[in-house]
Amino acid sequence: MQTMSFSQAAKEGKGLEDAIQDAVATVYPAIVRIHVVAENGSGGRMKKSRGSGSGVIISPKGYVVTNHHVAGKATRLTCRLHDGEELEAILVGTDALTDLSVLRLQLDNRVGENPLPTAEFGDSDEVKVGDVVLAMGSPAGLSQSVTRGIASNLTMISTQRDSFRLDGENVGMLVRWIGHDAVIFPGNSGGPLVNLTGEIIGINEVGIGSLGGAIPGNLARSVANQLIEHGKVSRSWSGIEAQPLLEKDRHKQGVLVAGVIEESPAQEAGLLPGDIIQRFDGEKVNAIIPEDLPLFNRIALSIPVGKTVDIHGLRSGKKISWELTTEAREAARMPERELKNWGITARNFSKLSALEARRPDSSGIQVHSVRPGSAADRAKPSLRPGDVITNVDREEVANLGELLAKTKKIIEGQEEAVPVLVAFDRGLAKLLTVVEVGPEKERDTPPQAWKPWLGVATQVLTRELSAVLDVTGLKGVRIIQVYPDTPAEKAAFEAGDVLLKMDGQIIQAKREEDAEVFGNMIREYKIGSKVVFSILRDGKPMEKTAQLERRPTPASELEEYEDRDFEFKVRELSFANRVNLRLEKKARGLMVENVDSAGWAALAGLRQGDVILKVDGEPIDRVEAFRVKMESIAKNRSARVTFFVKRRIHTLFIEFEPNWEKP
Amino acid sequence: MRSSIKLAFAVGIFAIAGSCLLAAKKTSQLQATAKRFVSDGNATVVWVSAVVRVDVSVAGRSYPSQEQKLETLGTVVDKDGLVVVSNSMIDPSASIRKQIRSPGANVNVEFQEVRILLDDGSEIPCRLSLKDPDLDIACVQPLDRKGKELTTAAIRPVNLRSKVNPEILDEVLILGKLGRTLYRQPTVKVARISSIIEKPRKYYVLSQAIPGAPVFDARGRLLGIAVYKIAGGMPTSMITLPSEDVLDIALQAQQRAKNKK
Repeated sequence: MQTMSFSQAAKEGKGLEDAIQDAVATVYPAIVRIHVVAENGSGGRMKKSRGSGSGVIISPKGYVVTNHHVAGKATRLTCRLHDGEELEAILVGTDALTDLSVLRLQLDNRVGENPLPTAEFGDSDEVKVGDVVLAMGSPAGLSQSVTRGIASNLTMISTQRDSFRLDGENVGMLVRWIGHDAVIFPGNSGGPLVNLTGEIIGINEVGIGSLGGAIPGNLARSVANQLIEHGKVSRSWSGIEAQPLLEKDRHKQGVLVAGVIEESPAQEAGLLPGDIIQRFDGEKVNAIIPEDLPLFNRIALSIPVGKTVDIHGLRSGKKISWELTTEAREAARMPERELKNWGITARNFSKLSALEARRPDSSGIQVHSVRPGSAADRAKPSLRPGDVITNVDREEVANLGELLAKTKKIIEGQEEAVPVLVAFDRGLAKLLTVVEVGPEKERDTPPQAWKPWLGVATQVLTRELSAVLDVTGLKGVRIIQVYPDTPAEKAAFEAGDVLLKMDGQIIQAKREEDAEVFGNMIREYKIGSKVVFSILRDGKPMEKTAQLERRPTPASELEEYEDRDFEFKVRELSFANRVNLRLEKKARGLMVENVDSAGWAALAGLRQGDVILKVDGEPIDRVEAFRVKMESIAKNRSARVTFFVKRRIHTLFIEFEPNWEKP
Repeated sequence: MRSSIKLAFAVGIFAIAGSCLLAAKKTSQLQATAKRFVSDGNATVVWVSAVVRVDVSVAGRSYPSQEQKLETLGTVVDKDGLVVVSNSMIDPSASIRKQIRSPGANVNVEFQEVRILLDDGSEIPCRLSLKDPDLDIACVQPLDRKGKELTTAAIRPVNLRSKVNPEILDEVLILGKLGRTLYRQPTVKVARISSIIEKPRKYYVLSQAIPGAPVFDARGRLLGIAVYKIAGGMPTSMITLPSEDVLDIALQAQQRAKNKK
């Protein structure tokens, strides 16, 4: 679609509103709403979370540009197009340093036949303060939205150094945002900032109060092109840490060297803190204020990897030059992965993270987080975040791949955890520990002896209650519920009966804290004992004899199953469950005992207390059958699994969408 | 008249002499039984050690896990090495709850290692197979019932099926074993039955007791096992649980262990 700039529109007699309408019509259909399932390491697990953001289609092949903080850690991506169609997408590449990601829509599954609407990048260098800009996106609750504002500032930076970090990368190192006052809603991240010509001049990234910030379109286009072509952005690393000139040197031109990282190309070239760089690879550089630094960084980082560059500058006021050969810049941090058999999340070292951790090289695996109670946590000494695993079972391990392979070898065919000697570094200390790697031993909780029961729920006859009930001075309990098919029901006890004595012994309960007295007294008897109860019914004293029976198996001793893929636990229905949920004696189902936060089950919406009735349409009533079913699902790596559950008076279907790729 | 006085005096003398003889006989019987127990190497009472991991959370806040090592006396109750102990001596839950004094506290005790310590220094790995916190008794089951350690171990189980009807003030023997500092040597104590409680179930109250230790009559027949009376979830005074109740628990432990397999 042909569009025109506002100046053109003005010349042709069109008003601002028409220009806006044209720009909206051009870009609006290319906006997508991105639904993300992301994983982040925490507490020894990869915790799953849902999120959403905006993106814009930039190519008929289905490439979508969005923010790294929206999609960079996604394990599942779904995009909703302007016409409502939903398509799955894959992450093509991501760049934390500029907070940009590129996705590719899975167009093979597309239902609609219309050509894919796309938007084009304009030249963000042409944007002037005061230009009308349109912020577009798909914020939460809205399918698509557009807000209008003006460009307020073209060199907006983070006011505090290092205040905006993503995966260890300082986003402000390269990005100077286009500041604007078009309203940014939550969920607008990744959406385009558009000029009146209908071109992308920025990718919206931040909204602070009434001020929005967009990554300049030229930078976004360059990064997106590299991600599409190579899957990553190639950058050079010199090891120079730059800062603006000090006040005393403001009359000079150049960039102050604040620091030189050890063993970096800059150190090898002989640069020292305090040097002033004036030309870098032939380009004049200058940084008087912080807003100038991203320009220098862009020049330094965009040098081809391995190129030797000439640097000219000043040292103690005298001219000096250096020759520096750049190296490939690796990510500030490598992504973390979960090692379930260890109970940790861990990551490899990048060159930069190894330097930050003062490691001699990038070999070793850095522990990122530890799950409480896991094998790593139970080891003595236990592994802690920051520890670096260097040797497992007397073999060196240099990276996660080697550790995973070694772990697989150790646990193959084992039914129980295997004690493994692990060497790790904690700072400068070199420690040894033994980690029991492998299937976690089920907790061997001793069962409790069978106990008698009457089959009632009671409340304490408090002083206040006894006064109101005209039984002042008496101690005991009041029956509040008689359970079905119990000794109490057989002995015709009723709710409201006040129990005062058992075999002549006073039930010493008069305060709320005495709630357990009655139960304790009952449990002292033998199963089958006949007990004479002195009671009050409607104020009249009487005696009732009940023969105590064996208490139903408590919930804690019922068979249970923990699914470690979906991260939840179920068990058989207990007597109390059936009573409280008003279930028939023969009602089927399994009780959801626990759902780990941020696991696949939690993400799907399963809740503690749900009763699972069916799995993929198959009725479920025994733990063993459920275990077989879930193991089959794991073996087949089913893309989707549907539970039919009962939740209080409701029933509902819950769909799981696990990510089987990562172990 | 005079002759009748003489007769009465003579009868009295005989009666006193008879009762003295009877008492002496009982004492000698008690002593003989005690000596027999000691000379048998006291293979009925064993030390049991446990390593437990304690996790405490109060109002949703978890505290760092702690490990505790506990040792207590237990009584061997069958030929496969089943040992009964006082539950409160091996499970610190109740004492920790008492220390915390917070109604919302959650105390979780996990038994990481349970072992029977034999006189020859060997240790038999076990598991806690059943607990009865209300009666303060717990069963410790060797992991491998046919294991080498057990077949070579000189254990002498008590007879839980013995029928005894003791009376107030009867003298009884409590069989124990001294601690590590005293080389785990056998020890025997004499006590008297000071009370017999019938309801809600039968308990014997003795003048002294050792938790987890067996209590015998003078003839060496088992009366029961000494445990704590639990009130409000806490151990209070010591009582002796009759052998028939211990038998119920032991049989249940064996049956449930069998079902689990």
